[in-house]
Amino acid sequence: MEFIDYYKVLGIDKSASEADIKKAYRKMARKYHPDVNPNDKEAEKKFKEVNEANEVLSKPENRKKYDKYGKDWKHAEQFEKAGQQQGGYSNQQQNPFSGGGNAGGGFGNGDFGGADYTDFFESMFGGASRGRTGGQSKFRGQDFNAELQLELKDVYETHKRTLTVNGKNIRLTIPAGVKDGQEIKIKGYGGDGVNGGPKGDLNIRFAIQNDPLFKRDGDNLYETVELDLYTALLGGEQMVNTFDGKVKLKVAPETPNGTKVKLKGKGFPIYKKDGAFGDLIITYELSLPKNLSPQEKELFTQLSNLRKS
Amino acid sequence: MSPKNYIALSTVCKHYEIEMTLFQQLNETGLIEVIEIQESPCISEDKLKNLEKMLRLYQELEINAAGIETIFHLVDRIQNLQQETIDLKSRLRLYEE
Repeated sequence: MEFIDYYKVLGIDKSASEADIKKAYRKMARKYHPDVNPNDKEAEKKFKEVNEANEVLSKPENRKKYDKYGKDWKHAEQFEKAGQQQGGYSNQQQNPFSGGGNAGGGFGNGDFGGADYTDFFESMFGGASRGRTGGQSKFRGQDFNAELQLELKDVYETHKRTLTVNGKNIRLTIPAGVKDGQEIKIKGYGGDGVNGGPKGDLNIRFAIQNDPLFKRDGDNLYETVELDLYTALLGGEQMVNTFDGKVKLKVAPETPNGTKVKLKGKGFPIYKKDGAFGDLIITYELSLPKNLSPQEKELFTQLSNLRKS
Repeated sequence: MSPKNYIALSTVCKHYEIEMTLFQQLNETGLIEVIEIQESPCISEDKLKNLEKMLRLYQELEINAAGIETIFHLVDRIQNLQQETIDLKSRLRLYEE
């Protein structure tokens, strides 16, 4: 385990009073709290360190052990007991781990290297202190925010999708009709809590890209359809794309440019309303013939003259 | 919106062990919107997530309503800037590829 200087973490001197520690902790917690540092992993890590430092330094008995044994402070009692049994360390005022290799090496290779003791002390200092919540705050983990880019056709039907967020696979049901910018919250998929606090949530924001054919406004879809001059003037039929296939529309004679036609129920599915759809609004855009042949020009001239006379 | 989407503040107070005056202060700053339903102050259910964030700042960091208001404004600005950075980076990628 890497040694962390808790005094340095809190930015205080070794001679700091209890009040100084409390003040420094509060200052650091405010600086690195996940709620004031959205999407900041570094701040979250720092916040955990600050809490760990406070957990140790705010309790005089823990602080004393930390000052004497450094990173091995959790094993302090066991070391002292061993020292008494061996007639050694309890009478020595020096830190057996700070002085040199001999003392530290002695313990490492002796009776105290076993994993059983680690578990024991974990429950003594770690688990138990976490359990005693008096004075030790639990903090909820950071909320994670993610954006899911989808095409319009992706949200036409309800479907499932697997996302990977921070190494975790999340199977997500995306309901038909989800809107651009809409957010959903998945509880407990955010950052880990501190001191046994609950996990944060994962907020997923849907970013729905524009479709080249259809424009969406709420539950309605808008489409511009080119109508040739002759069908517009004489009437006829026009094939139109909808989201679930093509439909044939009747065009009335002398349909003006910009005419709007509403196809009821051919729009976008309404969010969380099964079987309900908005409308599709079609705007006819007149398309004039290009590259006229001499014969066509002649005929258009005749038509023009007919209108003038 | 129908009344079923609102929660009585007295319920919220009890659940989070918070005094009513904090809600009054938060209401004054405009951070929450308290409405009266049958003479009982209520808050919209969809605003609970934000409210929980405010209560964490209040309880865990001992920040008052004015401080919470300042933090919310700054966090909002940070998030906007973060989004702007993401957008700019993705636009930049178009030119780099």
